[in-house]
Amino acid sequence: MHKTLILAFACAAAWPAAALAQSGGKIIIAENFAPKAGFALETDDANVLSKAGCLEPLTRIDFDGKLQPSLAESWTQAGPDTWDFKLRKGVTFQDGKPLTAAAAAASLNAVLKVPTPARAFSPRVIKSVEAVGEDIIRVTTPSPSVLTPLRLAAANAGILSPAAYKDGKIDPVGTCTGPFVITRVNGQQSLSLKRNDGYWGGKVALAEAEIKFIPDANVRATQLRTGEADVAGAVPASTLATLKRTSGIKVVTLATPRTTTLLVNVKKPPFDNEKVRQALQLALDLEGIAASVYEGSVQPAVGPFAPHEPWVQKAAKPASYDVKKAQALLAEAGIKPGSLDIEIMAYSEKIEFKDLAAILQDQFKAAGVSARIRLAEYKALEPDMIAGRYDVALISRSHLVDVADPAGYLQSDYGCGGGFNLSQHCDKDFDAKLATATAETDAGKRYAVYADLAQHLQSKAVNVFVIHEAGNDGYKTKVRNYRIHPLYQYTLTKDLSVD
Amino acid sequence: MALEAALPDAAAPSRSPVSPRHSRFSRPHWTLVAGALLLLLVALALCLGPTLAPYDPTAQALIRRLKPPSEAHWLGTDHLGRDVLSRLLVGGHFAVVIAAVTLTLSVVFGTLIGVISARKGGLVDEVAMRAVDLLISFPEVVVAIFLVALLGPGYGTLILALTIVGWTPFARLARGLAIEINAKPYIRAAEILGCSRRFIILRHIIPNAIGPISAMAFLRFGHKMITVGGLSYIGLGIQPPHADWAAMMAEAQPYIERAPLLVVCPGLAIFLTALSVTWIGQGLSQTGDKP
Amino acid sequence: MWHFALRRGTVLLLTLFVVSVVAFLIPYIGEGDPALLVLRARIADPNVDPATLEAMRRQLGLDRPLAIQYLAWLGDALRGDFGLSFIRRAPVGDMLGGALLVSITLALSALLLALLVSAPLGTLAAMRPGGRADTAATLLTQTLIAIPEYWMAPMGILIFALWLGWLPSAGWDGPASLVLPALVLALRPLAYFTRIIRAAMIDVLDAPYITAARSRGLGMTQTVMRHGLRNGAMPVITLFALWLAGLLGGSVVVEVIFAIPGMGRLIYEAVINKDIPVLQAGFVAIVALAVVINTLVDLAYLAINPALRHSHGA
Repeated sequence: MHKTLILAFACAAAWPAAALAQSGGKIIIAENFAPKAGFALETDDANVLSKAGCLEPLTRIDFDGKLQPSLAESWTQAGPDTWDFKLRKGVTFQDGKPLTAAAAAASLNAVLKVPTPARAFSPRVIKSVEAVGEDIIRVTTPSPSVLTPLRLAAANAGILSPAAYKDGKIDPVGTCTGPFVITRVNGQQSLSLKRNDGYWGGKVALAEAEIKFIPDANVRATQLRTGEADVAGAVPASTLATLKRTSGIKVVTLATPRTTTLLVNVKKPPFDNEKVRQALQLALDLEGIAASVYEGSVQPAVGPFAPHEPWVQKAAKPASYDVKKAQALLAEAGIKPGSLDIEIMAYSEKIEFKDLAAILQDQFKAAGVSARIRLAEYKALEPDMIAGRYDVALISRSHLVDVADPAGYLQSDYGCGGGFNLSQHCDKDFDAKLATATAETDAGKRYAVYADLAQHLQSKAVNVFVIHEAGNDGYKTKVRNYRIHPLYQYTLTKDLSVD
Repeated sequence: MALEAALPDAAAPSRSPVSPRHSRFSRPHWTLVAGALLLLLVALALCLGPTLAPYDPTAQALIRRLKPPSEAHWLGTDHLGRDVLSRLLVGGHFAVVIAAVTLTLSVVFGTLIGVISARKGGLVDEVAMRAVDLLISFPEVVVAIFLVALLGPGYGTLILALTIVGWTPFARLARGLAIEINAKPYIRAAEILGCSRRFIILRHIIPNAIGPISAMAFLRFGHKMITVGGLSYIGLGIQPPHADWAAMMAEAQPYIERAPLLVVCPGLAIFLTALSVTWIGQGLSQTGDKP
Repeated sequence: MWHFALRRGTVLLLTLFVVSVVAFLIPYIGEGDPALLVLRARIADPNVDPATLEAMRRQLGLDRPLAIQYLAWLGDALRGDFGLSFIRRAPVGDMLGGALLVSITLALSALLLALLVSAPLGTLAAMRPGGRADTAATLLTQTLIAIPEYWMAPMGILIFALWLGWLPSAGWDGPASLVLPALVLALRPLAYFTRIIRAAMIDVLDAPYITAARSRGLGMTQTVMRHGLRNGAMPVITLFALWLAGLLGGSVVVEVIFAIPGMGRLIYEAVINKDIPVLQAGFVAIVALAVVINTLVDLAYLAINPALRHSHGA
């Protein structure tokens, strides 16, 4: 009893004293995803470090989606499968050590050589990384590739000081190169940061920052309203109306390259029958879904890609909503009303999925298909989805995940043997067309092929594309220069400030 | 769980029929009457709910979402356009049924184990009471979460989880009562007359113990119900689209300012049900004071 | 007494052994292959190479006989080493320690708060059983028992965080963030404490020594303070300790609503993520603590009141 009391008070005393005000001010950001794997760079934790303004790669995608120099100031293609990256001069790690080609190569090799490498930066796409002289990093690929500079922009390819690697663990405190230095890692609760006065990119506006990891989107929105957070990432659509009405709060919306998709396991009967899949597609009221769950903040999907993207046919329209026709198609496929019982998988991290799944369940029922819902965290569902042990599953999928071109997505998600082909779609014609596109140097012609393939996926109802997602971040009006990064890779930047 | 262990004291079993104390009430306590009436109302609503419900409780109408009360929808509609009144009428089933079944099983097993271990004594008693000591301190929510993880959510899992820890306080109470009754002259007399143990247990001990035991059962009914609701609230209880009061509250949380009724109504339903059984339990334990 | 303590100690050890075996077997009861789960958690890649899987199995020691695995696991566990979290890769012991500290802080705050309110309330109610104060206290406790914490918590957030802006809505930084969750958690123990304090005080006030003290001319308040509270304290301490054990992990709903990194949420998340080492250690920690607290309370009880030894069946 005594001991517990002492422990409790010790804990109370361990709370950090209120931070002293400094010039430049402090910002508090409520974020979704907490570091979960001890900052292993091959995991999503790399993205956490990148958003925190700590970790930087050799190249980067800017806020307009363009490739820019970062720790490398320039790069050249030395051969079909070889790229040379020239390091920026005068960059030091936050621990004071200089950024050398050897250090950068060691960092990249460390993430490449783990038993379970990241998809965006793995031996499958990168063959070797080596230091050539003082300031050149040579990267080779297993096959000729023009995408190597884009791959090195991934957060997984971020560079840490050699001091970060100790006894098989990774310590990002003071070992990054970015505008912010981590001062305290508070478990999965928060990261405290201060500005990096020696930042190579110039003066950093903010003095301090705190990133709180709050998985519950509603709590993030609440914290923005109460002033506990200055920025709330990915607020739920259900709170948009309230947030926009609140004075002192702004909501910034960015169309993202993500489409909420109902994956259909096309290998599993009766979903191998195109008519059954089309029936599911026709059973859904996409307009109603966009207007209700998303409160009108998104567009119903016209296919895997959104209408404003360059690789979409102009005439593309959302699938029509026609329950009668859905019933007729099911009858044609020999499925009696009520005889088909399916399971909808949905993951809880996407807060809208719970309601979306309930709507799907109801609308499928109207078409004569009964459905159960399995709601859990993504990691709990993924093994079954990957192993093909599912009927249909809701997923929020980015089609520009590794590089700013949807070829990778089409290949991995819909190509025979693709790396993330959860729907198990396999069509030789599809693959052949995709192969012609990747060999095509003319962007216009390449995009036309992508559009064609997208149309194929939509008309064959390989998956049911539901809505084109939009990212909604809320922030206090006193926050300046806040932008949503198109790949959600950067939040704390040197220009971000508070009044 | 610990709370379980704490309850018998709180439930004032000291006012047992075998040791009557000064009495304050000679009629059924008013809370007993009020609680019974309230519970009857809840039970009626739950039994007739499916028939009384004006709409299919799972039927959605996305264009009619978050509507305030109207003639068509007396309590309005939820965020998916479902009729709140209809959902309310069927939404108590999960928690109430689990609480009721759990307590019935706990009372039966607990009383039997308690009485038998009191009569047999020796090793049987030792083993039973050590099991009680062990299980009584298990937090039931934690046990429930573990079982949900292993077996998946559902009626069976939760009934199992809550019964594993739920029988222990009844066993302790029943054993105490049985020891007290055992010492009574009329039991001695029955033994001398050659009545079998089983007869004595069935004829004398259990009927005498049933009063305080049922009081205890009612007093913890509300607690069980709220615990089950808590699991539904965090998504480990009932699964959609079925309505459940606690799950309704969780779903309505984002809309609490736009449509407060969505949270208030199911909250009130849980509160009134829990209050009614608590009143009955309180009434029973105090009516037992009669000399 | 010593005989009894020895016996309870043996039972305690036996219990912990059973619990440790159950905890060790957790991964084998579930359906997932732990090695596959770890791999999948680290890479979103379906084409797991069998060799990698085998290497992972060896790395996790899953290829040895079950009994050997248990002994190895137990040996590590006894040294406080429950391995690395599958998902977070942090030492489970550290994660657990942090979460326990949080939960203990929260539980103690809530229970002390409950005690502060219920002591005067229960005593007041006991002064004149059936009187107005008693009726009011009874109604209050009945009401508090019937209110779910998942109704109280969101209402508290709405009123005190959103409308009034006095308190943080969620999270765990600074004493201010402790107030709302502790308040919500305190309500139910408050009700039970009040009841038991009332019952204990009625018994105490009936006792001959109180009448004697009164007849010596001591005032009612003085009598109660001097004799009543002291004698009525034991059942209250018992209840307090039992609630403490129950709230470690038992406060999961409140921890989830307020985003508090305590035991409840740790285990809830471990269940959802199938983070087996955390699940095992959490199970052992919660049950062991509960059983230890329970045993200590029983021993203390018996040390103070030896008459109970027989009726307690020991």
